Amino acid sequence: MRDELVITRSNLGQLASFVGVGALLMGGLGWLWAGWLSSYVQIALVIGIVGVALWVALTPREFIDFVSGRRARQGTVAVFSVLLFVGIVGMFYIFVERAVITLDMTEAGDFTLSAESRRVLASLDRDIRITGFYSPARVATRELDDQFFRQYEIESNGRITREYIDPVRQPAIATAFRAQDGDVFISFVNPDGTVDMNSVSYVPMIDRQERDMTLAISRLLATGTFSVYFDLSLGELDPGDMSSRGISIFTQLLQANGFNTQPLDLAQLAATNGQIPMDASAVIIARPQTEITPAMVRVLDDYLRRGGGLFLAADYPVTAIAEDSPFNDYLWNDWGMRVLDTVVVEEIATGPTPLDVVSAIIYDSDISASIDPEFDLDSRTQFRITRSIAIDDDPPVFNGSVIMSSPDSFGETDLDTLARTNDFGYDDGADIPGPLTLVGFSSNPETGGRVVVVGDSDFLTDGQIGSPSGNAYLSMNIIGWLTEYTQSVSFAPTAGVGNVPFIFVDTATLDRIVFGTLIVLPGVTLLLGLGVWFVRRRR
Amino acid sequence: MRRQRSLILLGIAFVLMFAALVWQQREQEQQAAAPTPFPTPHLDRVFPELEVLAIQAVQLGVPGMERTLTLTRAEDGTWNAIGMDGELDAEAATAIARTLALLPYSQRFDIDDDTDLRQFGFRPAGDFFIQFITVFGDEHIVAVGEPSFEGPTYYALVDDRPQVYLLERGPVDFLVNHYMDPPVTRPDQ
Repeated sequence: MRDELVITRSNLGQLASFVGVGALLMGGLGWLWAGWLSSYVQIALVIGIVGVALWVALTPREFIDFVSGRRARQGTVAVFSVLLFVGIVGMFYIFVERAVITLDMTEAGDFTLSAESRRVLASLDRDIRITGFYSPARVATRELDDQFFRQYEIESNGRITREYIDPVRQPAIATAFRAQDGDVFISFVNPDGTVDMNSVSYVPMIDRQERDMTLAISRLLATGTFSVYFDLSLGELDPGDMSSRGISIFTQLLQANGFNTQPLDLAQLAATNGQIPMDASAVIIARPQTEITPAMVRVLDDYLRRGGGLFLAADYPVTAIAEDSPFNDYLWNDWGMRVLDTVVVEEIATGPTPLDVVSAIIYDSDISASIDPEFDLDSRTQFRITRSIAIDDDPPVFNGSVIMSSPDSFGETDLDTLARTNDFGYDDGADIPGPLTLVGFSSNPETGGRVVVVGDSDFLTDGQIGSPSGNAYLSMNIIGWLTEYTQSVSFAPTAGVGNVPFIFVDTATLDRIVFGTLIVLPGVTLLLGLGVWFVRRRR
Repeated sequence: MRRQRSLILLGIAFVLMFAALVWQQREQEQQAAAPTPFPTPHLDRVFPELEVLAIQAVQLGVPGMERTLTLTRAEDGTWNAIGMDGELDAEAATAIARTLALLPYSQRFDIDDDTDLRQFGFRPAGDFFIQFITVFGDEHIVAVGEPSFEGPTYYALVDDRPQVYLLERGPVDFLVNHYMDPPVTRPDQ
């Protein structure tokens, strides 16, 4: 015969205490998890309060004894201990989850910033904001970008912050940034936390990789540090000319990359025995129309001895910088290269005509960075009626070729015939067989002076600087190398990460895992324990 | 007694953890929250309960312009163009009503009193308005603003709802075209 189940007031009080404390715990966790008092949280809290109130009402003595610590029933202590433990584990999980602890578990460290990026970030002395514009249609792109941007935020100890703006919902902000959907900008942050709009800089996300962002940060930090001077006293290409023959796009590219651009009057400096300004990071002489006089050579030599950088874009016809001109002699004697009185002809035309010479041989250097026609045909350079450059095998300084024509090319020396009849052809013994240097460089490690000579200037003009894209790469790389800006950021070739991490758990799945781990499993254990306890009591 | 001591220790740990979480939550709330857009692959109706036959009258217009296209439905269900001579294209009128009933939006988001509506093209009125009355006496108005940012949608405000809607361009352009070129055949045509 089974004993009758007797439910006492004490049993009810204890049950009310379990339900009350458990519900309060659930409500508290729910409030912390959701961040607001949702209806579920409110219900849990109400149940909790009612439960505790019942406990107090039904067994006031036990409640007082428990709270005062004088005495507590064994079952109550056990259940409360389990509930508290579940609560602690739950809160610990929420804390860790919100702390966004990032750990790169990939073998190649695909999601870890390189040493170069960390070095740039270590030099931050102002707060920087990454502002990304992503419409709902670009959520996947945002996730891809965010995995990198988040690393910048962590690695910079919060000096770099990120903000994503939906341009559809906030078109006014997008307009202020002149942003397109998917654009990313960086800027300094004002002390009040707002974006310094004067410093806003577009981040060209070519590969959507670390390199793009780190270069952009470097440019932002270097804004105003480098000044590039365009000489205009020899009838050169005009940096303000917006026609297809001008070089306004090149100038804008420089400015967009943080370079100051200034005019220079070399002739006047030579006449007044002046000096090229001390802040000149580089001087550009783009297709001079008149000869560089010995006095001008002295001014340039003085500048280069002070560690300056000179970019000479020579061209055909050869009158301004003839092979035997004073400046060419200076280049040969001091820098181990000279511009030859030849026009390069590609016998097997790779460009529109045999006189359009593309980059056939490219030596790996900072000046040729990103120029890789085998990988991207548009990254080739293309010169129109270009002169070749002689490189001294026994130079007084460090020199070399950057870009050469193909072995099938030759240097046409009969320029009179070329000018009169546009006729050319290889003459054995007279013409120079290829490959021929189209872009050469020299650097003097003792003085820090650097010179780059290109046999063409058309590649700089608005009509051709973007067609092909390699022309723009080359022009910017030259300035980057001359000013030593490029050396401030250099990346080893790394395999790109083009996707979000393979193991990607969405929020809903994560919530289900958490619910099962933190609520269901301990809850089942607790219920089993209660069940066993009740069965034993009945016996 | 030992069990009670463990319970007290657990209680202290619980309180400390709770305090740490509250602190963390406050810290994160102080940081600028970045809006998180989510894709909206489907379209919804601005007036999901509206039926074509329930539309009694429609008015299309441009704020600040006197000319409107006003259509009313007679008791026998036929449409009439108010203030216009000529014969109304009944199919076109029905198509206008059907467009209103189905008027689709791809996204909507909340606004408050501080939201600058000028950025959506409301300075203060929009570029186009759609107004209609139902047989139940309900009045609705849709104020259409500028085309959205790089999207095939228009910003719109609906009645006094505290949201900005992104209306699909096709239906709105259809209504605008009928406003610009009313579906009425003049007697001399």
